Amino acid sequence: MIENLRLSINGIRSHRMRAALTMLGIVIGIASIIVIVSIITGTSEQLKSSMINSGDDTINVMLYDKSNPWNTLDPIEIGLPTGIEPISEETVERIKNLDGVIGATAITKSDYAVGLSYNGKRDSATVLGVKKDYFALKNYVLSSGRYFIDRDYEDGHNVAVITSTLASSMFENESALGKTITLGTEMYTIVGVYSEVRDYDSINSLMDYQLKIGMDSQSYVIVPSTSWVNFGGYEAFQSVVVKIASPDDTVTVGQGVADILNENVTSNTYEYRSSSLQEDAESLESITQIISILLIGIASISLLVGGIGVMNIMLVSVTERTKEIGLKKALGAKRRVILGQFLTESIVLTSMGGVVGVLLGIGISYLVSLLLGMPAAISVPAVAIAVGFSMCVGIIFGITPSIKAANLNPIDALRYE
Amino acid sequence: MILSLKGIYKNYLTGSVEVPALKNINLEVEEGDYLAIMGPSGSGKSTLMNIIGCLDKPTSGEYLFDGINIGEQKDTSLSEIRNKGIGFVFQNFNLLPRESALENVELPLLYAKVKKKQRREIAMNALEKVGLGARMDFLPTQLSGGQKQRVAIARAIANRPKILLADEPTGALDSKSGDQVMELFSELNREGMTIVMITHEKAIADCAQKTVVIYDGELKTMEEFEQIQNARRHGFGGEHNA
Repeated sequence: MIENLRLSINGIRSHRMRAALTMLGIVIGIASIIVIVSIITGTSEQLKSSMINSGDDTINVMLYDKSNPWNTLDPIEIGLPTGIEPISEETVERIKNLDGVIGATAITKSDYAVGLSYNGKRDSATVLGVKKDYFALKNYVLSSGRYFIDRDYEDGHNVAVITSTLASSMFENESALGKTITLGTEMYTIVGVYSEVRDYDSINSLMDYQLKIGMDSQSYVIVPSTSWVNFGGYEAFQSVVVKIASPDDTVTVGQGVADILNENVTSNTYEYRSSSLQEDAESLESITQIISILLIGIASISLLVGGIGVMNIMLVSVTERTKEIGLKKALGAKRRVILGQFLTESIVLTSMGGVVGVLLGIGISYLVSLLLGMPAAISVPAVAIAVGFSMCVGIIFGITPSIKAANLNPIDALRYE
Repeated sequence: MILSLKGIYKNYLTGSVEVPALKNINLEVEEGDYLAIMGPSGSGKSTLMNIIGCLDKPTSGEYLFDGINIGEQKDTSLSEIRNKGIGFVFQNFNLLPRESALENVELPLLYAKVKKKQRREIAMNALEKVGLGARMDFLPTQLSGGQKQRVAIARAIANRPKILLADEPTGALDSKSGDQVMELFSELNREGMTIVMITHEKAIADCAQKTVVIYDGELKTMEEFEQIQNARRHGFGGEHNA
């Protein structure tokens, strides 16, 4: 065995250029697999940690168009569709009693950006109509002013709380408090400015990017549900926000809440479904997984081509060394000794390719993460599998030439010039 | 009796025609013999050498090597017989070009699964024996033809084989180196090594104790061969005169 290794390394050394070119296919294949796996692993790790740190432990259960999963209801345009009842206080109480639910509240939400203006300055925002307990469920930070109080509901005041991004774009350096904005045809007085807890310093993943874009473009105006009537024309809760105990329960709790809400639904067009950051992340992850399988598949083709290259060179090597094989057989080398020698050479060749590929892959991964700001995590099992896989390529594509060498007739082989 | 060939025939298939290469070969070699097998090219010398060297099996007939019936052996046991029983010396040395003299000599010991330390020792002794103790680490390319052949002889005797089988051992050498090789053979034979040597040179064959000639696939004594040669010469002469 050691002798075989020594012979293989000698053999490879004497044909450096050829060995290097032969290895190239394996190097490229393994390197690309390592890069793909590193970046995918890095991104999904980033995703998980951003989810844990996001503090977003609420899920939204909303009406969705059954035929189009991305379309939610637009209550401002059409009101509540037939077959959909406004969500009652009793239903919300039932949801609060579900396992894993910490709190719940019904809201109304405009699903397109509503036009708003101040002193001739125009902007747009998503408008939410909420009950007082809404703010207790969300991890918002109040930057100035206040949230809603009981009197806002009792008197049906047109008051509003807006996001800090909207405040800074509408009023720039001025304080937003006390300013009156026009929402549709109604005037609303701003009583509070809030921001979300999450603060994304850098974009480290696709998920961050989505959230960042989402946060910047989605300006929110939150109004009391009682004054939503003034703006939306009717009081009708059609969504529920649920705070959950553990992110692991997202899917089950979401399903449970949707089931309760769907009990009252007689519409054929709409149904309640849950959506959350976690679910978005999971679906994103499954997409990246599919992409990574595809990419690894493509990289595997390069490995296959590399393997064929190895086989080709090994066949040439067997022919070249026919005389040597003949001599060794004459001197008493058994078939399996010859087989072992050539198989070892093939495995050494592809393993070297594998190791170089892994190193190159790690290098490229770091380079990519530096240049594109994508996180790269070197997965130890992936490295081990890659090297193991390159050895397998050596065996698979080395076996035919090795058998050919082992079966050479010593007389013919000795006579070969 | 080390070698015993009885009624050996070897036919080769050329297309669909069977061509006899060896016809009824009977040969016996005793321990300590030094036999030369002569013959013009195409006479079947190489075929006989391949059969004696257990590289090929006869079509019919019985070949006993040290009492073992070669015709009945499998590939693996033939490898073992070649490894431990026969020391090959080839016309063009057949040394591995990238391995040192010492490593070349170690090769049959490696196949015999001799431990590394012992292997080295035996190989070094064998090289000393052929007078190349000082050039153990030389590559074949750094050695002269005569030195290469002596490395090959060291390799052949390393495993203490039953016979030394040489195929035109001086064929690629100048006369001085050839003489040195022949001296080495004689010395080995004096020490008890059985040698079978194939050659077409009369002068080389004369170094052996006994010479047989293979002619048209048949084995002849030297006298029989000379008679045939004389008869042919006269035959040509007669035609020429006519």
